[in-house]
Amino acid sequence: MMACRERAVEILRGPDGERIWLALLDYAHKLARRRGWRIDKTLPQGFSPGEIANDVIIKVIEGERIWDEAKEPSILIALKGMVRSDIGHLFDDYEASLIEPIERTSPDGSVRTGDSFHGTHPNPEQEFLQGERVRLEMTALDLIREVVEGRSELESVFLALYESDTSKEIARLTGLPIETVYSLSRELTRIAAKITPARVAREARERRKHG
Amino acid sequence: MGNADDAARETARFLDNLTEFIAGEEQQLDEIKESLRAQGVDPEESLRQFRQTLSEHAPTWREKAARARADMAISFESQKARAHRTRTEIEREIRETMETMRALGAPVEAGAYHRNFEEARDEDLESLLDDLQFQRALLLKQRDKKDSNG
Repeated sequence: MMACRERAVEILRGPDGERIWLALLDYAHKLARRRGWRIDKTLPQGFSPGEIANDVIIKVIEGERIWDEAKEPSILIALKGMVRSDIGHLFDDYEASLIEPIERTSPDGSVRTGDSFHGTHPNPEQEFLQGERVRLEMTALDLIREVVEGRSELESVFLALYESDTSKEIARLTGLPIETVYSLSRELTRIAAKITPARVAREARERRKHG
Repeated sequence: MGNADDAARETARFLDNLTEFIAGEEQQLDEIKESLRAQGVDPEESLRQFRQTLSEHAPTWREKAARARADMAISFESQKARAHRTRTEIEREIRETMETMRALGAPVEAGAYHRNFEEARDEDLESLLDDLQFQRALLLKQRDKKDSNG
């Protein structure tokens, strides 16, 4: 049986290789923007989506990361999973770094411990940051909603996205032909591309200012 | 509190679904390129980098052979440069030796002084240098002898 890495190289060098690479890169950009809507950053620690995608490709073709074709026949889906994992770790680490340690000594000498926060409830910093992230995500969603409003087909896809993330399922939910759903997906790509994390953060600040 | 949590979860799920939907596997090459351009990414440059990554980390036998040829060419060039540097070095040493000999008051052979180094072969230059260094050594020995005799 051909080794996983050799099979991966064969596919990436094959007729569909360049499409797979660009689809992976496209995904890395979209995912970084989506996670960025939570924290007003496209990617923390100075990484770029392209670097993350390229790093995943290198690790797979050098055998450092394994794509098991028997478990996941689509190499693109497997690679996307790896990119999702790496981008997820970057954002999770960044978000965790913003949270102040629970245990600390106050200026008056009293020691704050986990018990101070009554069981499993998040501490005040965590609550505040979580609130901020939700506010930013809701702002991103509102910005998308504002663009699709009044455009019936786009609106129905928008609503279906609360239920599903696949074109086939969305076509079934909305009753739209699959080709129309593909076309609306491209329209939503253009809409989402204009909603950068910085724009979301700016809009959220404006909304807060104006109550 | 419960409603707010539900709304937050719903929002996050919507954004996750949207991201997966617009990055669907069904995309054709042209659509992906258009999507990348919309996000400010140059797909052609990205493809060039991808080909380079494959070539560096998973080279074909042709690429390996081409790289070996290129390495050999570089090595040849560097050998040529080294040989050239050695010749230049020899010429510099000849001049320095002649300077020392003149400073010691020795009449340096006119033929050697005016010799056109560029026309001489490497072997000729090397043997000229050997001769001059031998003569200089003799001169230095004579001077030392004179000095010790007062």
